[in-house]
This record gives sequence, structure tokens and C-alpha cells, in this order.
Amino acid sequence: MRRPLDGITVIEAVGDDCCLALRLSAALAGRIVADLGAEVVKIEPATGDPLRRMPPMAGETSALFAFLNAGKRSVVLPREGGFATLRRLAERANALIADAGCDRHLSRGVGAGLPDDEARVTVLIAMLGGDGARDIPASEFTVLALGGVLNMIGDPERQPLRLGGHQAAYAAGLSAFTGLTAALCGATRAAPEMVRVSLLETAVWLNWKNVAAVATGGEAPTRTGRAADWPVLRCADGWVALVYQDADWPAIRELADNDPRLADPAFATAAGRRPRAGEIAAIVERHLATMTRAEIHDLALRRRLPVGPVASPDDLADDPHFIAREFLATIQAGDGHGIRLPRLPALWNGTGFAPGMVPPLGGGARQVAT
Amino acid sequence: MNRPLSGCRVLDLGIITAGAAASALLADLGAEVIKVESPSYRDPFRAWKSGDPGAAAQLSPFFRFTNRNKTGISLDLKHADGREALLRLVAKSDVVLENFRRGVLARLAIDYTVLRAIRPEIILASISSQGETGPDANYVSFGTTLEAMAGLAWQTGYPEGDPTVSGRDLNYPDQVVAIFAAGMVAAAWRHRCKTGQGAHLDMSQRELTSFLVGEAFGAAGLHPARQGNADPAYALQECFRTVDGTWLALSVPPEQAAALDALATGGGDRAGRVTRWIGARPMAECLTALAAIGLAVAPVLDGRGVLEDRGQRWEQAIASLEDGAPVKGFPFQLEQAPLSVSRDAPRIGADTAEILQRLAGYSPEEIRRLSVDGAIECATM
Repeated sequence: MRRPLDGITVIEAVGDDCCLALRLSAALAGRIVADLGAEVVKIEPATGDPLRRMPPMAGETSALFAFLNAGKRSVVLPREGGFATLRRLAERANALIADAGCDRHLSRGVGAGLPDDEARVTVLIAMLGGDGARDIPASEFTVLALGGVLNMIGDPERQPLRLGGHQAAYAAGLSAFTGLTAALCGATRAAPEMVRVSLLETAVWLNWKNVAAVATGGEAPTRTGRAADWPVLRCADGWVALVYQDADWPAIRELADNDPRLADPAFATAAGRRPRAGEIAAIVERHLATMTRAEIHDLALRRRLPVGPVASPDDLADDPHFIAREFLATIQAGDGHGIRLPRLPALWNGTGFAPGMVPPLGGGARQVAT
Repeated sequence: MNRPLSGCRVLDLGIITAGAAASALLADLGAEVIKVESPSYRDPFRAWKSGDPGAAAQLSPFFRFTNRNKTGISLDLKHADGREALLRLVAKSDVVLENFRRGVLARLAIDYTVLRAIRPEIILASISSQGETGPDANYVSFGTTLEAMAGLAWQTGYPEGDPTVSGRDLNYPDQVVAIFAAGMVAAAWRHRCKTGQGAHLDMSQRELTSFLVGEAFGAAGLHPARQGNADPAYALQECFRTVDGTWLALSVPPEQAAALDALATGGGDRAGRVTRWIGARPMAECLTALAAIGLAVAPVLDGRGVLEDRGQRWEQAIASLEDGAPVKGFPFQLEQAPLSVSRDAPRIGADTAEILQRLAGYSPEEIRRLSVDGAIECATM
């Protein structure tokens, strides 16, 4: 299959002292464009990207590094004249993904050696937005605090919680991917494009509903824990997110064996249920205790109920839906371990983009002429 | 100005967040986005939170946030003449974007096969909960459902506590898919410009949510479950309550742990000492002292605090209309072809007549008849 970014070359080069979060963002954007056909050259320090040593580890291979770098080539710059080599690579590339500390000299040279009608784009990723904020120390966690995301997750009486994994970095990685891909449609030598991404701008953009509530004169929402409209409840073999709309209320009552307490006329409307959501959750949970996730799944599918059984990553490896869609692929890592990786979450005319190999340090599918 | 998606015309059948926000981003990038609604089916965001179904004439804030930069038409796709009008527009368009429940496009007889017959190079961007195929294709889901089913909730929560979701007011899976889908449409548009070929993009929000915890799938039993706010890359990462009663978020890299230990002295473990130290001081003093030793530290802000920070640590994520009303801004910015907001969200059928004349070749008389027949809806006739 011809892939949409075939023929595009992208250099992924963050500084040696670049923080972890920006490495994750740049790498995710690179992984996506590599799956879409771009030739992605990842510049690594001689000791290797620190992500190669980050958990979770599968044998000697970091599953984190494997997930983020499948399908790229790895290049270690020579000790002498490293920057000149990088510059030559950038001059023959359509795009550079870098952290905001990137040398202006380097970004100006992107694509300089290409024909005039070729696109040339630099993507710069920073932790915070705004020019004055670059030197403030930040982490994914403090970005989620400043973006109002932490405030929304967890129990109201306990400390705010982050989302699992690396959502602040990866969401910004999606911004970098989209900014880059869009800019590739338009940018030529007459106007080489500069895409500016920050983890905080993306976090605030994602959290727009909370900002909108305040900006239009309302109260700022906050985390509600088990009193949420849609709480996570225990069932016989795990948990389930109790999600339903007004029209689903009869089916929810059925899910709770028509418990007479739910027949309370005050529960007949969404407005009546909302202030007593915690009470409803406790009643429904007692009945869910006799049901497995598989039983809840089948009932939800049959009754068109949006309740969601909680799956672990290991559960999902055996999930019939994911298997049918070939969402997870196993590839061989350098030490012979099989590593499971998700493919790009998009099918193109019904076909997936298979993830490529995980590059060894300084290696990959093809030799790079420097 | 030549913008990245100049010349790309999008028929936006997207609703609520996922579809409508993806189209909004395409509009920001220079595409001409026509929001298509129906006299019998509005974007539910028009009535969100107002609680008044008759309020459709008044733009709800959530609708305004998500649909600025678009024109709007209203066609009844269940009416033969309304469907015909849509197909005439498809013949003049490049992208159709939708996030209906699976099966709706086929029932309306406007699925990819039909669209491609009319416009071979059409790009159909389908955003769905579970994807087009597979045993769960018809599983009805909202963002919270997907966090549960995708592996994100399993990893989110207090240590030893229950799996946790981002909740209705954040609804994380619906937001991220809008960014990703816009990027995939841009990739398809580039491909179309190079090859003349269209594509059907099948984008599953559950798959995207799983992709965003992609490292957790590496191998069986690899990943510990919920770790609260801890992160293996940091010696300490947690929220602490200041003496004001407000929460502060702190990340301490291993190489800076000694500096923190010199500040928060006393007995017990590090987390306990830091809890006492921060708990005895107001927020401003904690922020200054912890930043002074180079730590990543920030107040846990609510929506009001985030908005007050606008123009300081962020500025692009929220934009303003001419009348000053805030609307959704941009998750990234371009220097040469800046994303900008130039028009308010459309009222129902605001541009039906103009667009059917200009693009679909209908005469004013035909448009009047279609309107009388109920096949279309025009705001001003």
C-alpha cells in the first residue's frame, strides 16, 4: 500500500539535555508520521535516548521506547562535527521535530537542499506556552496542574490525580503530528513553516469545557469522585464505568434487578438523580456484584447501554474486538523478546498501518548517508 | 493568504465534540467547513446545559466554542430532496467528516460507496467509538466508557484504589481524537493532492485511547496498575495541601532530591517531611521556595485559575470572537499561516440558501420550494 507520507523525510532531534516530557512528545509525533510512511531519522546521543532505559521493560527492551520509536531509523552523530552532520541531514529533510531549545540556525536550514516545490517545516515543542515562560521548570504533572486537568480527577476530599501514562506529553505529540502534517500540505521554500506546540496549550485546549464554564459566567467544575454522574463501580470480577443517558434509565434499573429503591419518583428525571448520584451508585453496585464484566459487556451491547467494563492492558491483548481489528501486533525486539505494540488508531480503506521495527542504537532499516 | 488546507472543502456532519471539534481545527487550518444539520436532528451541543429545547435559536456556549469558523446549512437527509442536495454538495467537496453511530450513514444511503460513486476522490473521515468493524462496532460509548474499555482507567487512580476516569466535564477521549482526526484528514488531503485518490478513514476513539497508553501493552504482566501521582522517573511526585487549603503539584527528579531534603528537614520519610513543610506554609511561599531550588512546581488550578493565567503561561488555547466572547482556540500555532478565528458559529440554516446556490446550482425558486417542502431549512427567506 502506498502510504500518505511516503517520500517525506523527518528529522527528530531533541537536545541532549532535553527533559523527559518533550522527548516523549517528539517521539510520539515521529512514531505517527513514520507509520504513515515518512522516513523518520531519530538523532540519539552516543549513550542512547534515555527512554531506552525507561520502564516498563520487557527483558532488556523498554516497551516505552519500542512503542514510541517503531519504524524509525536511529543515528548517532559523530563526536567531531556532530552539528554539521545534523545540519546536512536537516537540509535534505522536509521537516524537523525538535524541542524549543533548538538552534535557530538548524531550523532555518531545514529542506535547504531540496527542490523548491518540496515542503519544509520545523516543529518546536515546549512545556509551556508564551515566550516568557520557557525557562520555568515544568513536568507533565505540573502542566496538568496548570491546565486544570488534575483538579478534575479523583475524590473531592483527597489529593487531585493525574491521568495514567503520559497523557500531557502524548496529547502534545498529537498536536505536533497534526501541525506538522497540515503544514506539509502548504509550506514551500517561499514560506517554510514553523509549528509551535506546547504541552500546556494542548492541555488547556483539551480542558476547554472547564474554561468555557467559567468564561461564560458559570462556576468552575471540580472533581466529584464517586458522586460523579458516571461513577466507576465494582462488579464480580473487576470494575465497570456506569455511563448512561436519560433514555437509558429504564435499562439501568433493569441492570440493578429493578431494585425498588430506584423506583423513587425523585429518580425519574436526570435533574432529580444528579444530587443523589452517590446513592444511586451504591444501590447499583450491590447488584453489579453478582455480574462479571463479560456479562455486563454482553448486556450493554444488546441493550445499547454505554456502560464500560474496565479492561487492563493484559485483558485487551485477548479482547475479541481488538483481535478482530488487528489492533495489537507483536514485533521482535533486539534481544529476541516479543513486544506487543498498538498500530496507528486509524484504518485507511479498511487497512491498518503495521508498525515498523524498533531501531537499535545507530541503526534501523536503511543506512543514512551523512 | 495561502493556508495549509486552503482549497479543501469539508462537509461537517460532526456532532457534539469529537466530530465537530475535528472539523473546527480543519477550518482553523484554512479549509472551508460547512456544518450540515437537519431540521429533524440538530447538533445536540446547541441545547447543551441550557435545558431548554426551544433555545436552539440562541447559541449555547459549548456550541459556539466548537463550531466557530464554520458556515451552516440544514438539510433533511431523510427527505429525498434533502439527500439529493447533500449529494450535489458532495460532488463539489473534498472531505465528509462524521461521528454518527455506526449504521446511520448506511441507513441514510450516504455511506462511502455512495459518496465515492458521486465524487471518486472524496475523503470520508469516520470517527466512531469502536471503529467500523469488529464485534463491538455497535457498542454505544461515551468518553468515560472508552476510558474504561481502553486501558486508561485501569492505570488512573489512587494506589490500591479503584480505576478512575476523567469524567464528563473533561471527557478526555473526545478531545484528543479531534486533534488526531484533523491530522489524519490533513494526511489524506496531502495524499489526494499528490495522487488524486480519496480514502475512507476509520478512526476508533477506543483505539486512540489505547494508543495513548501504548507502552502498557509491551508484554503480559509488565505494567503495574494504579500508582496515584507517582512516576518512576521522579524521586517524588505528588500533590500537597498548603496551609491555605489549596493543592500544589510537585515533581522532584532524583538529582534534585537532595536540595529538597535540605529544605524540608525533620524525621520520617521524604513525602511526610514535604507534607509537613508545605502544609505549614501558604501557596505563594511554597511556589517561590521550591522553584528557587529548581523544582517543577505549580498550583493545582481550576477553570477559573486557568483562565486567569491566559496570556502568561499559555495564550493560544482559547481565542476570542470580535465581540470578545471566548471560543475554542488552538492546540498548536503556525508562524507563517497563523490559525485564527474569524466568524461566530452559524445559526441553524444560516447559509443554506447561499451555499445551495453557489455550490449546488439551485435557483432561488428551487430553494424556496425545497424549504416549503421541508427538505431544507433556511434562516433568512
